[in-house]
Amino acid sequence: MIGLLKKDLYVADKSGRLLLVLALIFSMIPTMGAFGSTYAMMMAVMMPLTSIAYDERCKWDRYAAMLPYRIGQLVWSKYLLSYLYTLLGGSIIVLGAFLRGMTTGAVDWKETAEMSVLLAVVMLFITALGLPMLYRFGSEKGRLAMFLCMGGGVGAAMGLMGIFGELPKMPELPMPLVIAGVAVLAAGATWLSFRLSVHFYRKRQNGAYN
Amino acid sequence: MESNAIEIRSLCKHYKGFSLDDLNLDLPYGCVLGLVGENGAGKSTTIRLIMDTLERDGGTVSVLGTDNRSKEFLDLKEDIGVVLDETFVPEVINAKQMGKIMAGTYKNWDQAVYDGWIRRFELPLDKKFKDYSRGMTMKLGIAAALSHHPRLLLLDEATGGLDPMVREELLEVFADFAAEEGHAVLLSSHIVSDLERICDYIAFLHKGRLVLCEEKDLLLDKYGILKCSKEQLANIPEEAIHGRRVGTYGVEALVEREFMPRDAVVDRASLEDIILYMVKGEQK
Repeated sequence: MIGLLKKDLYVADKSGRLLLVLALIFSMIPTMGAFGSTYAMMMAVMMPLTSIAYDERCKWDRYAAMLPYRIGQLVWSKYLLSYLYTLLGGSIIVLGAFLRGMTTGAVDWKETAEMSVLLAVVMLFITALGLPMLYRFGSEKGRLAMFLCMGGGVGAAMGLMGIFGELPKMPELPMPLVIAGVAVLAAGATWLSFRLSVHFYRKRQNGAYN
Repeated sequence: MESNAIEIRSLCKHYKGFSLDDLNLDLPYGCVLGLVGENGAGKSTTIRLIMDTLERDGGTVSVLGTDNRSKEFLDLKEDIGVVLDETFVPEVINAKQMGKIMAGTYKNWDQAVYDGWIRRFELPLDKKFKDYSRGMTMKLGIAAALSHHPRLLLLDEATGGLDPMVREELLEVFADFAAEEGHAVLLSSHIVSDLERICDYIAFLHKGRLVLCEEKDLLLDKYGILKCSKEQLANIPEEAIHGRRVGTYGVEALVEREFMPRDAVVDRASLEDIILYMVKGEQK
């Protein structure tokens, strides 16, 4: 597993570093609002996509299948890559807030922490949604399908707002409870997503999608 | 210890438009088995089935004494070095990083051995894979395959597209590996001259069927080329003839020496002759 992660980190090295620096810069600019944080987290989700695109180009999967790895490990390494960059993204948000605080003098640490954790959990959802699509359709079509799903979700929400004037009001719940609830859902989605990804990976290996 | 590194029995795999049918094959320890056949004959499919990376439709495969469908086979992959015919590592990786990736992959990885192969093959450590020539790519693959102390090497077209100097060097490496106790090599190729040079056994796959699998020296002793007129050929027993080429001035035929009259002059057939005549023999 370490070997797989190393490979992915080497592949993502240049773009990863560039994106991390950009995320740090964005998160330091006060006028950017939540853009910097969102950018840092989105970058994390894009990493498996970059890695899978490289793998496809050199037929890494054919070689990886010959190595002493289970299919589950080959698939899980992409989830781990996404989580690793999500962790990095979260750290950048905190670092950006700290640096901003040094210049402006005031940082709402509670809000920053809540925002980081919530964004991270949302990114878990997006990873859970995106990776099975990448394994099913490949990096090119999978990327499209992933964005269509995300766009579809936003579009559906806007459509509902158009119909009802605004989305139904959620009861006011304490943030830790909201985060815990969403995290449990994300864990369930990840479990289902992983099983689907393994299924698609196995079928792809047997030429079902060629 | 069992006597064969690989034992394949009644192996089948069906694709749309292609079938690997009833494949039976043994690779004894200490030997190099050459798997020869045209493009699309089923060589790569066979290697993938040996490594169980492709679901088979029937048959059994035993590798180093272990059923390749058993749970133990995953650990056994530590003992198998594989080199594939195509680029297999992302183009931004270099040889140094490749070593680190493999160190995180194989429990038996030996960095000193890897460094030794990198030096022997004169591969640059920091050059990215995308800037490698085909020869360098194959050498890197071989260096990685040999650096975790494997007992079995599976080489899928590992010498294809290489210049004669590099091929010579690599064939020597494979032959040396097979000579060590408890080792074996399966080398798939359509460069028959390479196989003729280092293989102990030859398996010929044609359109997904195993046409022959024999000890190379026996094969070369068994068959010969007969040059004669059409009339003379008509007097040769039909079971002796395995293929023929009819020209303006006469006929050349691949014949089995055993069935030939004592006075017949039969020239030595190369492995390439045998395979070509056998394929064309289908049309005789």
